Amino acid sequence: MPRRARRVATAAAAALLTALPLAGCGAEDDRGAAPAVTPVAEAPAAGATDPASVGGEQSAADGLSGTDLAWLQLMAPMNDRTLLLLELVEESGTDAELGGFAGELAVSHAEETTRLREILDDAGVPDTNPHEGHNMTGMVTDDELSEIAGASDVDAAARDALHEHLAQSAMVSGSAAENGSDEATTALAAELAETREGQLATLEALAG
Amino acid sequence: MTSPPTSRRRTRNRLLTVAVAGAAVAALQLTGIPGAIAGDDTDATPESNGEVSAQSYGVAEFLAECEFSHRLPDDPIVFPGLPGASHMHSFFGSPVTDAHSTAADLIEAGQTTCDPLVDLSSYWMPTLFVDGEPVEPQQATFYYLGEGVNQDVTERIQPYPEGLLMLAGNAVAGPDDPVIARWSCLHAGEVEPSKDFVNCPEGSALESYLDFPQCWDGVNLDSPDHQSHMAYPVANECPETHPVPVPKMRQVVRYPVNGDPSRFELASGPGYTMHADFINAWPQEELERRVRDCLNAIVKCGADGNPL
Repeated sequence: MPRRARRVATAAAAALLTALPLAGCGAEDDRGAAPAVTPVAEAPAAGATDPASVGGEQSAADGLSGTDLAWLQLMAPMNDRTLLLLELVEESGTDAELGGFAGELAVSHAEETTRLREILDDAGVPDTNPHEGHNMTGMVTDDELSEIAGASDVDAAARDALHEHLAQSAMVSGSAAENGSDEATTALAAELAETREGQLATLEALAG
Repeated sequence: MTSPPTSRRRTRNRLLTVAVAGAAVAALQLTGIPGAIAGDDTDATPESNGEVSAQSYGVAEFLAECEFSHRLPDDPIVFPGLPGASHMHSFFGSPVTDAHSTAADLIEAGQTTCDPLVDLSSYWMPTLFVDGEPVEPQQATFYYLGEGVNQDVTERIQPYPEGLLMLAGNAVAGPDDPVIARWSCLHAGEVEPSKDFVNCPEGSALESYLDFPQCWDGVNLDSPDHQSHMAYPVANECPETHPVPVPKMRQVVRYPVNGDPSRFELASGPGYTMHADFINAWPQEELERRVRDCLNAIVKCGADGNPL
C-alpha cells in the first residue's frame, strides 16, 4: 500500500505558527479548558483561525509539513534528553570506551539539536516539547535516568537506553526523510538517519 | 474485527446515557456554563442523577459504541507520517489507522469495530498502564450530543465536514492547568469526579469523560495546533470565529480497573493528561441523517441513528 506523507494544513500553519504554540499529542488552549465555574467566555482570540489563511501563503510556513514539524519537534527534545543520559555515562560509567563514545555522541547530539532548532526558528515555531512527560520509546525519561543511575551495572543499563534511543531516532528520521517535504528538514533527517545507523554499529561493536 | 456489544451491555449503556445527558443538562442549568460535563468537579456523577430528568430536558443524541482495535505509538493527526513518533495510543473504530492514515484511507478500508458498522471513523487516546502493563477499556462509547448550546443552536447543528480532524484534552497538561477531561467511577457515584485518576471502590470501574469542541470555523478541517479550527461554545452560542455548530462528541471510556490510583499511568503521564483524537470518516449521508433526525429534532437515538 503506497504511503504518503500527509500535509497538515501547511498553509494555515503559515499564518498561525507565529501566533500559536504548537500543541502536543493533543494539547489544548485555555478557552476550552476553563473549569465549569469560570465562564468559558474567554472568546477565542479574534482571528485565531483566519479562514483566509487556508489555501494561500504556502511560503510563509517555509514549507514545513505536519511530518516536518513532528520530526523536528520530536528530535530536538529526544536529543536534549539523551544529553542527560550521556552526561550520566561520562560521570558515573566505568567503561572507558563507552565513556569516550558518550563524549562524542554528546558533541554531535548538541550540534544536531542546534540545527534542528534553527529550522524551527526559521519557521517561527515556538520551542515547545509536545512530548513533555510522555513515556515513549527512545525518549529518556526522568524515571529512566534514576533507574540507570541506580543500576548495579550503570554501563549496561545506559548502553540499553542508548541503543533504544539511537535505533528509534534512526527509524523516525528515516520516515521523516521519506515522508517530509521541507528540503532542509528532509536533508537533515536523511543525514541523521545515516549518522544514527553508524552510531548504532559503533555501540554494538563496543557492546560486543 | 467487529463484535457488537451484547444486548445487556447496550441496555446498561442506554440507561447510563440517559443519566449522563440528564446530569450534563442539569449541570448546565445550574451553572449556566456551556459544555459543562457530567464529571465536573462540582457535579454529581452521571448515575446519581437518575434517568427521569432526561426526558424532561429533551435529549438529543446518537452514538457509536466501539470495541478496542489496536495499539500503536502513532498519531496520524499530530505526528503524521512518523510511525513510532508518539506515546502509545489505543485505537477504536477503524482497525487500519496508523501514522499515515487519512480519512480517505479509512473510508477506503471500510472496516470498523463500532456499532454502527457505517461509522468508519478513527478514535484514539493514550493507553492506560496499570503497574506498567497496558490495560484496554472494556469499551468506548462516543456520544454525539445536541447539548451545551441554546436550543435554537442545537436545532441548526450541522454534520461534521468530511475529513474533519479533532483533538480534545491536553496531553502535556501540568498539575495546575485547567483541563476538561474527568475521571470518575462507574457504579460508584459517591466518588467525586476529578481531573486526575480517582480511587474507585471494589466492584466499580474507572471511567474517563472527555468532551470535544462543538463549534467549527466553517473552513478548516485541521489547523497547526490541530485545535484552533474548533472551539467550545461561549455563553451557549458558537463564537463568531467558529460560527458553525456541530455535534458535541463526548467520549466515555471505562477501564476494568479500580483501587489505588498510584498504580495508574497514561502513556502521556498523569490522569489530567487524558486527551483524544478523532478522524471523521462517517459516510456524509448517514451523519446528516443522524444530525437531522436526532440532534436537530432533539430526539434520543441509538447506535442505528433511529429514535429509541
